[in-house]
Amino acid sequence: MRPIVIKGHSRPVTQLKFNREGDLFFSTGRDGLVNVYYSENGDMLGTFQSKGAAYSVDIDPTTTFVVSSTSGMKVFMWTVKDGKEIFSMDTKSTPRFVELSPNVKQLLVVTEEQMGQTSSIFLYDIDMSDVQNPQVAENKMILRKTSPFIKASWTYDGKHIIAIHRDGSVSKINSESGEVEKEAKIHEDSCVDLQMSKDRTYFVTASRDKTAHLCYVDDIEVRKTYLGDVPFNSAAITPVKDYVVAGGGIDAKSVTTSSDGRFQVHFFHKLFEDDLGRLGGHFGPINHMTVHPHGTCFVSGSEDGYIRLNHFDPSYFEFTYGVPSSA
Amino acid sequence: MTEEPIDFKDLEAKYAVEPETKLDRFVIVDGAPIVPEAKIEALTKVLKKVIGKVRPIKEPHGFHMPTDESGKSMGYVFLEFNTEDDAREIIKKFNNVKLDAKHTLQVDRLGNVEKFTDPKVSTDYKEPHLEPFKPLPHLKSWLTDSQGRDQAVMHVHETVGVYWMNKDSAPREAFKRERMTDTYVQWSPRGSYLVSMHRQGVMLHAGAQFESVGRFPHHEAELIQFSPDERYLFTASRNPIPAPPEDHTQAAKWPFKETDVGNQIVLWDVQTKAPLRTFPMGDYNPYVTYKNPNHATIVPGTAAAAIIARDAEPIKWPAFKWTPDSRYFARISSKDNLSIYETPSMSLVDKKSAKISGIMDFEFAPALVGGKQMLAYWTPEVENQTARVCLMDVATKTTIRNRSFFNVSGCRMFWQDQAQFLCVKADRLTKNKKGLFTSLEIYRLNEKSFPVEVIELKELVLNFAWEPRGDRFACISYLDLPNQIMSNSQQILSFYALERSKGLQGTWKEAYRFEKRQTNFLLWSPRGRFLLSAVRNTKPELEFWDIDHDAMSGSIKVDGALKAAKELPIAVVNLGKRENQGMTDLAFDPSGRYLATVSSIVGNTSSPGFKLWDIRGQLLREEKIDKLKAFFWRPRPPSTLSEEKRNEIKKNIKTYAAQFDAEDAARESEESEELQKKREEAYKSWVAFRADVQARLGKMGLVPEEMQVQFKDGKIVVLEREVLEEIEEEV
Repeated sequence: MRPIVIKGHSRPVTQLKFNREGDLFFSTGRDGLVNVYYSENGDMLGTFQSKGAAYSVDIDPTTTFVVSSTSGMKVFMWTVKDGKEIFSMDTKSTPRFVELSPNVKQLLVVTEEQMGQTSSIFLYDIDMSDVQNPQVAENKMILRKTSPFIKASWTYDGKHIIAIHRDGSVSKINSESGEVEKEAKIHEDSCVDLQMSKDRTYFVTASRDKTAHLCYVDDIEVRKTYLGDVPFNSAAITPVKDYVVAGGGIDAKSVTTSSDGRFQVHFFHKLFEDDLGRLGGHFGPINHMTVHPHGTCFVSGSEDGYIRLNHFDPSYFEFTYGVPSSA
Repeated sequence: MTEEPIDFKDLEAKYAVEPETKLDRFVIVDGAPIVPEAKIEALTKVLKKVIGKVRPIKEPHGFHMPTDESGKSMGYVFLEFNTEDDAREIIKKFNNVKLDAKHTLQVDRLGNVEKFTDPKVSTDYKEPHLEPFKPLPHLKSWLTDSQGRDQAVMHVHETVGVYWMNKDSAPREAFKRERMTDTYVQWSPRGSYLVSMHRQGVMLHAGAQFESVGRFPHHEAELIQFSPDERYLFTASRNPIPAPPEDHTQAAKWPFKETDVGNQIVLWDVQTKAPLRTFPMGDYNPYVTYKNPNHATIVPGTAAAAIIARDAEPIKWPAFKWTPDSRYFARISSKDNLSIYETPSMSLVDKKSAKISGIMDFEFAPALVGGKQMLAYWTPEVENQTARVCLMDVATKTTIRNRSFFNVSGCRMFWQDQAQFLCVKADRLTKNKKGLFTSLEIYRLNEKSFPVEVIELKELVLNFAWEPRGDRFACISYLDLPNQIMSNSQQILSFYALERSKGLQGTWKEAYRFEKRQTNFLLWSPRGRFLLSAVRNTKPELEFWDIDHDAMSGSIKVDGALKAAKELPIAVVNLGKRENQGMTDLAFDPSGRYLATVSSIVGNTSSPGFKLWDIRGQLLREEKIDKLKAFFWRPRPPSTLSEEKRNEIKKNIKTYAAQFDAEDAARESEESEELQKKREEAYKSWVAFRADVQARLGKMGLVPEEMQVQFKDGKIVVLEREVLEEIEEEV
């Protein structure tokens, strides 16, 4: 596997996201840029200029527009083909995470606990029929009841949201009533990433307690546990092949005191939980990583601003591990 | 205007003097002679004189001898003293003391009279309750394991667990307990007991479930040391033993004697749990007073001692050295005294310490030499006296062999483990007195009058180690040049062997010499033949050596080695170098087949856990254990097999090996079956989950992920792809 290294950001990378077809991927960084690249070769297609540090990005399924949140307490929207800003909106505290609902009728924004504002999930009804003139209306505000929210994601039915919390718990929220249907503390330390499977029926969480968990969205119970030797910042599910990739690294503050950074991507078997291998390369903690929707490549972005794009070799697809003979 | 009288009641209450109720300064003396009135004055005079000699009686009314109506004395006297201390001293001195042939004095505190005449104190005799006999658990139960596995204890965060160790599967838990110890755990030298440390003292655990088999109430004991046979146990605390508790019931439970007060080291009998003797800490450390701290002996602290708070001043430990048969133990008690004690009386041999002027260090021989227990010690150069190394017979304290040296800066003595040889490593000043070099002086204890062979080196030896049960040794040295800082890879690792072919005339020769090495630590496998050299610093490294390599006849140059002389029975091969990030500790298992390297959070590692290596340097297992504090192999007692039986096994090793291989294979297949079963279950439950999901998504008109993208015939096939709209872009 030969990685393509992209110096996309001058400051830490915060999120990476492929579009639906997987021909493009987007990255956000603390330097305020939202970049677009070709997945094939990593060439940059363009940049959306936001204000402050960019934290999160999402793309609609037709790759018509992107939505992004920034530290300037703003949520932006741009059209993809010409990079034109079509919408911006102020929030009361920093929006850490944005995600469009599967039917692109709603937008969720996770805000931080800041300046007397309680961490919340805001749901907006959006009407994108005229892309040049989007209509956005606040539908619901879901205040945190326990620990502050970190990220949230829609489930397959588009009627529930799975949210992760700073204390390591996960909750399932009904997006129509705003009611918390179930909450469970599954990590000992802060839960920092949540990524859904392709059909949004199960998800993986990554935690600073050095573990990643796989749960089904229906009952959010821990089904699989992946043990690492460093605190994780991100975990993702590979489509097609049954693996879970996870990455992270020791805290930035203790990097100088230990000689081995171990900023590696861990490969786990999704079903058997076994640690299958590692892939090194980064010089700083891996902040976020995500896998191509067809499972052909993955990208990882780190604290030092570099993005690494890895296309899987044919041997990756031919490799089988411990699958029972009956399979 | 009349002034109202001021009310002082509140102040009076505040400063009211309480009448003395404790009666601690009062003493009752019973058993005094009963005399008629005429003789009372004489008796008063006698008693006053006898008692007043020890402590003054309070004047003027401190002495009161009641009389009956006829004026006869009643046989008892009340005394008052100036201080409680005086009263206590009098009780100690005069209780049960004979005044004359007929009269024995009974002295006690007056307070006790009231206490025991209290109607609440029952006068009925009650049979003391005898604890029913509780048999000890099987102390050696782990040796009966059908697979002959070794155990190790792991201290993880607050939990102590004992595990069966396997070379090819994860350690299996045999026992686990949370909060078993306040600081650390330690094995006894033969593995029978697991010791836990508590504020109240030390506790021994044994048996398959590690139940408590003994408590040793030495308050805040920090360090322990067993005798080699596990019969005796030293405990040491920073806090001196305090005065006995005042309360009678508590005092009855107090295990120490008055004379023990103030001592810090206690020697216990492990079986009866009674303290046998106590010692002061004995802070005399010759190396503190000696001029050359660079080459001071490294005091071998127990690994466990590292867990203790390191900000406190280290205690010199072990304080005593034992002979291997546990008959004697000794320490350097002061500048000129070597105190040798004898078991089981725990008293000094010949009731006095051996006078050795300026003794620096001593080592007991690890085995008897000609039926005698020997020890070696050395004294430095002082004034017009040369430095000396002496061999002493412990029982008679006579010097058997005596050698002098000049220009010695430091010495260390290394006994071969069967006491056949003794090597004295003498670090000496070069002629210009600017550098140091080493001369190795090897005593042959297996020959008459113990001849000495001297190997003078150019280099300074840092580390020396005899091969267990062998006559070969390895040492690490470097060239000590003035004004030169020792760089990282300047050390030399050399191997020495005895020319056996020449019989008694044979001498030790350097057979292999590996220069420009970076190493500072030597560890032989407990069975000999294999040596491990290591770097123990921030970038730990291990190097494995085999000194009896079959394929090598001793003449082939391997990795910079000099050609070995053919007559030397040694063939060294470097088996490999391994980096070992974060290693803080390492130890061979009791069988000498495996090496465990430990990364413990006590040593500030970033990746706690342990690795298991085989003797050839192959990594067998790596276990990551978060918050691992300590890992210790459980020691095994010495083998009870006779020499003939052992030889027989060696001869038939192939038949045994076949049997063990078959057992290993059976176990492996069993384990892989287990794993396969687990995987099959995981697979089945996943398939069930996906089938359920597919059905539900199908009803909702959604596409499950399996139907979206597939890997087919070496290609990624995207199944679900709908064309919504085609737009021609104008560029």
